Amino acid sequence: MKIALPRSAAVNRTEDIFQRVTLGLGAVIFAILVLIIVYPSITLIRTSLTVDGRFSLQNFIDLIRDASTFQVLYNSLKVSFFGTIGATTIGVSIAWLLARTDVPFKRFWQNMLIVPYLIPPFIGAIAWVYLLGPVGFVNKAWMALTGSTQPLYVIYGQVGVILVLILYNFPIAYMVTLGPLRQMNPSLEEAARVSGANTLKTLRDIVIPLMLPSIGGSALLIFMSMMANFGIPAVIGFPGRFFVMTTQIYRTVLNYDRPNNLALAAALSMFLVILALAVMQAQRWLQKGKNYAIISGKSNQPQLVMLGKWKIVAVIFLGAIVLGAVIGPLLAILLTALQKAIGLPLTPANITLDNFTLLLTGVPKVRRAIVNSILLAGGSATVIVLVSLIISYLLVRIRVKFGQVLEGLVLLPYAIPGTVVALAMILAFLRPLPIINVSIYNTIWILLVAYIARFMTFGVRSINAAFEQVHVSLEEAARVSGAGFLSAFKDIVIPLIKTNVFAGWFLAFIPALTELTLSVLLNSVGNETLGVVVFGLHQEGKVLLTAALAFIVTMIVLLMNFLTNRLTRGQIGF
Amino acid sequence: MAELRLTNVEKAYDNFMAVRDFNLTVKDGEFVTLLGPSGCGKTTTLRMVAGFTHPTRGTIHLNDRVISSASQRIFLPPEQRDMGMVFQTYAVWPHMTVAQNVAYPLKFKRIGRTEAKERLDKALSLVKLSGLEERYPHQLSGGQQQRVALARALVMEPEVLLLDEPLSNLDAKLRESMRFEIIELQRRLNITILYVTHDQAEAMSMSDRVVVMNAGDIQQIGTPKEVYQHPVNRFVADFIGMANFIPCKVVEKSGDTVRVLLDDGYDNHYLICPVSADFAVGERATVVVRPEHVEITPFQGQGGTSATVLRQTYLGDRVDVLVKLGTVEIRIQTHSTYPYEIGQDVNLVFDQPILLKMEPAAAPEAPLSKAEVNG
Ligand SMILES: Nc1ncnc2c1ncn2[C@@H]1O[C@H](COP(=O)(O)OP(=O)(O)O)[C@@H](O)[C@H]1O
Ligand SMILES: [Mg+2]
Repeated sequence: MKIALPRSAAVNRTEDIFQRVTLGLGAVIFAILVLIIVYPSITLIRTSLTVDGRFSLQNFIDLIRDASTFQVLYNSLKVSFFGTIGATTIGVSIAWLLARTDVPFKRFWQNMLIVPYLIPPFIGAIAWVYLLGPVGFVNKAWMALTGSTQPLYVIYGQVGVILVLILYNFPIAYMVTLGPLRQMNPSLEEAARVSGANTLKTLRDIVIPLMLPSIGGSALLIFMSMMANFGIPAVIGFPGRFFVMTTQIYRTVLNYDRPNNLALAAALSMFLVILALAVMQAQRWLQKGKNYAIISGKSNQPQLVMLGKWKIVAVIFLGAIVLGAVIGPLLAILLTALQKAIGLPLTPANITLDNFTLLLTGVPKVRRAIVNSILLAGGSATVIVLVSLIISYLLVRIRVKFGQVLEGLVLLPYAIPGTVVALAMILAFLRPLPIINVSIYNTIWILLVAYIARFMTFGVRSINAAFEQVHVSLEEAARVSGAGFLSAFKDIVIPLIKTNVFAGWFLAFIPALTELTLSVLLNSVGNETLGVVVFGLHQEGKVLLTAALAFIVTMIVLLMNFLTNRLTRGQIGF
Repeated sequence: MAELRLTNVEKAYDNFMAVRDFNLTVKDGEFVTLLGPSGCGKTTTLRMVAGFTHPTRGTIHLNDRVISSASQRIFLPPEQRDMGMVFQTYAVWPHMTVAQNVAYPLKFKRIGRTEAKERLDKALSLVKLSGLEERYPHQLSGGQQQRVALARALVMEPEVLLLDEPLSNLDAKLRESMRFEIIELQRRLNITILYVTHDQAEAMSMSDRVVVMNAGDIQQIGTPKEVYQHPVNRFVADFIGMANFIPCKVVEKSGDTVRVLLDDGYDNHYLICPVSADFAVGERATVVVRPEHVEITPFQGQGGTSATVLRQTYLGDRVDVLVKLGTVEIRIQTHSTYPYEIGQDVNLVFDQPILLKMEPAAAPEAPLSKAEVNG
């Protein structure tokens, strides 16, 4: 790897050695990235274009001939399209309410609205089955109240998928647009008011057009997140025989009877890969066009919009969202987990902690999964942070050539759907690795590799930010004060990047702990993860145990997030 | 016909008074400027007139209509006040062209296409932006953006125009020429203007009347000449132009002048001051003398007061000399180019002295600001 000339010509010995070591390590890491990212990607593409060991387009031709291919593609696009509209509208409205109006209880809403972002989506979906499944709480209450024998509404199917997708994706739009809305120069709105526009027209003519880059950016993120989601369409879609791209790929991979099933799945994946790359590109393009100077230099205290009689409407709206995305689902899970048997009325006599006891003592799979998930999440987060330190140093400080390639490589496994990543891993590591002749397929190691590849971007992003914050001049100031290169690094750089390193670790650890999409395809007997076991128990119809485990997992995630937030004094986590 | 009247207007933020007991009538076609240091409540006052801030007490009338009243709970929203406003940050909308920006207020009036076009053209030509209709703000200089903001405020031909430090983001040269353009516009359109600035030269050169404010209170309202020649207190004397303050004692009264003895350590320097207020013989007071009103000549021994040169600074068009007169230091600005030397004795003659009542020593002022808001 070539390096650009360091900024200072006065490179002393220690610094020189340090850079050489970093570059050497960089080369090793690059080789690893090739093995766990580039090689699986190539294998995936190659497999999709191979039949009987020879180049062929037959897989694609088979897919195109099969009507169900278009059906699932159409389903995916449809739920993602309507889901994106819903989630973006809700998320942006909430951001506006919280940033620019005098809606009451802001702190409460802020704390609550972050929760659906933290709850693993498949657990949210399971909770909604407890609410609106055929025997869900809402439907039972409806039947009890009206005497009807028909449930009010059964969530299984496409509308249910869209609904739950919206509930667990709107926080993206909310979080992306909250900052820009807060920082927007209030004079821009006031100028519209004195021009004769009322609050609504000011929103329509000024605020929304100015926010369009952020809104568009979040809509793209949401769209791709919905296209890539596996857990929600699996939980809500399967019972209604409603399939989307990710669940179809999953079924194809597991359909061992079908000849050539992996190659067909690989070909199917290509649709998602191309879409993901297009979205990535669109986002980059949006970022570039985002040069409106709408952010004023000063810290403004924006004039808040007085909602007046609309205050009640706003509170009902926010309340409904919090009820639907947080309180309702969590309560449904907890109440289910506390039942003696399904369907019993909720009286104190029917409440028990037995499910939790049974779960932790009677089901060996669960204990294994807890250990596996903690080891996998901890292991992958640690590797990610160590590797990210070197990658970030190469990117930000040494500014290696091909830095963009390196960054793109790290982002790739997160940008494309997890189902596709899992398939690529299967294809790459199905056979023993060449030279060393070891196979990691069907072991826990393939999960570790997949997690590292998938969540690497969190580590690199947060440590990049750290190195960017620590301007070289801070190090240089230490140097002219008499510190050697290593002392400057130890006394100045490390203390300043500590928090972000910590953040990177947690940002990788938390999603890894409850990971489902990769694990569901890559796990093997004895190597189950928490996500796989929750999903498995749910599929097997073990409702009470599922609820108990889902409750434990959710509490762990919320608690970890809370701890991170406290330990970093509010800088990371919510 | 547009007269703006503020009566007993007050704005309190929690327990902090941003504006206190504000009374002002801006007459039709008048150019009135709120002048004072940062944080004194100028913007708050202007925003109460515009309708962005609710007064906590008092009433604001536009002509005979109440537009804000705390007691009657009347509060006309900004979009119904038909005022033009120019913001310190220009607030030109970046996603709209010059024409779209300027024509925006026309959208809310029932105006035909042709008339709208005429008004747009007129507003643009008023601010000399004709030909730039299709440009976007990022393709304009700061001065041009400022003109867009001005055209947008004028396009509805409002009766009242509000400007909040509109020139403070421009460079010095441009600022000066824009001053004259705004005055020129006001003459042509005969519009009522309430203008905010912390720059006293700007206020003096543009306004019919100036409202000098400090810490939420009006100190003085008057023409630029009045506030310069007859400041009512030490704050105004100091804020408008430069001033030397010399403590003194009244020794003699005759009609509308008094004779004072300067408290400069000599005990024999007397000065005749015109007064409008009532001073008693023996009363302690302060004489204000502007640096440009001190005549300085090399020491000749006769007349005037003698002092010693401490420092002199060449300023191009004038010379700034600091002298010591007994126990007080006095700053002088003179156009004479006589080369004074440090330590040289000089003769001073004080012209146009102003006599001020003694103010209670270091009256505790309201805290200037918690966090400065909007300049
Ligand atoms: N929304 C607000 N909340 C609390 N204090 C405010 C607010 N707006 C202005 N102030 C305070 O009121 C005082 C006057 O502010 P302002 O009118 O902006 O001053 P000026 O325009 O004269 O510089 C300042 O001390 C400022 O901190
Ligand atoms: Mg101001």
